[in-house]
Amino acid sequence: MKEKSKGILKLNGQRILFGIALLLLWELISGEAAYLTINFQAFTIRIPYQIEPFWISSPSEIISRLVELTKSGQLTFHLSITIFEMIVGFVIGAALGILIGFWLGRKVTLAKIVDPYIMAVYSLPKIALAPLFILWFGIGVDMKIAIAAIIVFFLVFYNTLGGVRSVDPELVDVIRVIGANEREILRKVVLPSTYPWIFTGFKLGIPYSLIGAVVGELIATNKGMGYLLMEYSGWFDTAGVFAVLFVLMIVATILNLAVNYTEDRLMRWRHGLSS
Amino acid sequence: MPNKITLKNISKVFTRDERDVQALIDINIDVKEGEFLSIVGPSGCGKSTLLNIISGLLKPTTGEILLDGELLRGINTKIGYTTQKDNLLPWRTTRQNIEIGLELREVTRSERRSQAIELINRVGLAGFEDHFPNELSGGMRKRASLARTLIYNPDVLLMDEPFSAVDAQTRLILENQLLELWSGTGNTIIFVTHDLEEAISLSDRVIVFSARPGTAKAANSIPLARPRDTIKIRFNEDFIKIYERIWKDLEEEVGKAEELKTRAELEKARKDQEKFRASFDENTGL
Repeated sequence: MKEKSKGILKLNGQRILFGIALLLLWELISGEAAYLTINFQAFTIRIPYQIEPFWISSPSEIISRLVELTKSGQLTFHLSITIFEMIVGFVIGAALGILIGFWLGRKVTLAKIVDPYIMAVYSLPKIALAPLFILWFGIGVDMKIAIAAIIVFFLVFYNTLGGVRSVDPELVDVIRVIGANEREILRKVVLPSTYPWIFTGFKLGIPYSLIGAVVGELIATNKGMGYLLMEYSGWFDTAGVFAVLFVLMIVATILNLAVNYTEDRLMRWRHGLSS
Repeated sequence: MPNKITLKNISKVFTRDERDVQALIDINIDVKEGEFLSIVGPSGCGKSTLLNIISGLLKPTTGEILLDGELLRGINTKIGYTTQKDNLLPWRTTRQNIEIGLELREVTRSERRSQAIELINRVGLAGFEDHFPNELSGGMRKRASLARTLIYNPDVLLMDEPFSAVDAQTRLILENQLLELWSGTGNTIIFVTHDLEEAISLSDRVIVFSARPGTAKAANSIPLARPRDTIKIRFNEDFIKIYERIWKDLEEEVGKAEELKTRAELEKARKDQEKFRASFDENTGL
């Protein structure tokens, strides 16, 4: 056990060093365009070793932009809007996905009838629905919530449906023999056996809800991280664009870590001797 | 002793690929109260089907089952069923799995817990009550699954090759444990196995099933004294005599079952080939 944690410590150290090296390299090559010129008989080869900050900005500039954004309170304002859209969209999409997935999972015939229609809507690129959502909800927060919700809905819905369908009939039989009625079977066997499936839906859905919210903001809005991205890009402010991307990356990473941690805690029963 | 369970003219026909397969035919068995009855037979003779019928999970095509002289309809919780797979709920710990029978009977939490812990100790799972099934060995899972059935104290226990998936040594220990748990309870056990030694060492009576369609071919009472040690008893002279006598009946059926199985496999291979040829002709337009 100790050996293992030592190994992880070492690995993390190496990771941090790698990151610092990358940032240093980035800082170094950012500057007034400069080339290494090599004359070889009739040919001239020009290798760039510095690139204009207009294209790639630089870590120091990005950091100062981040500090600025934080100090002015702009970051908190826009970030909280994006996260709000993401969370509300996720909750609505996930709740509907579980409910409808569960319901259709129990209604085999109905599920067969509606299957091609659900599949058809599912195959639609959800972003293409944005113009329709603008008509329905305007360009406010509702529209982004709707985009995030519909993307999450399908991910959770299909996973829940798969979970309900793959409940081991033998487990159901055994509990029935012990004396469970239909409601108890649903609560004590069917529902718990779908948890890992629903969780997989969540795991896929969380990053996608962020994508939905940001893409919605890119299309039409006046606030949120997507708006900030468009603004900076409109001003040809590369450092600003990178600063926003960096924040989004941090948010997505934290979400992923949180999901993995929760999964490890909740799904302990899935790991054991056999895995 | 009065009859606990009476099986009258039970038969079962399955329809598979639009063809009827007779799994069980004309089964008439009386099981006495407190009796340990084993059913041995070649694989595929419908032993498990019979237990599914007695448990109420499956309806017989003909015939009826009496429990304490009354017609049995559907599932009856006086009958406990330990299936071949342990079928523990993987998201529940050992204790939670064992408690489920009491949970469904709305026994209070503290009462449930104390009964479960007592049973966990009796089946030798102490120290593993908070483990998930994934964290238990095959033998432990069998014990947990047995304890789950015992906790609500059903009058009749149906056991379908409960020890077939565990290694030979663990199996001997589990068999002895089963006898200990059962002795003095007055419960009736119907135990299905394909292992004749196991059947003889445990039972009061052994019924040999024929190859498909399965039916009771011969019943043999086992007049060996109890309490028994399932390991030592195998060296007993009477045990060996009984074994030899029953084996003659069984051997014949095993041979028949083998033949049936081979025929069925050949038939299936032939059909698959035909299907393949038909689809090939169709696709190539011939």
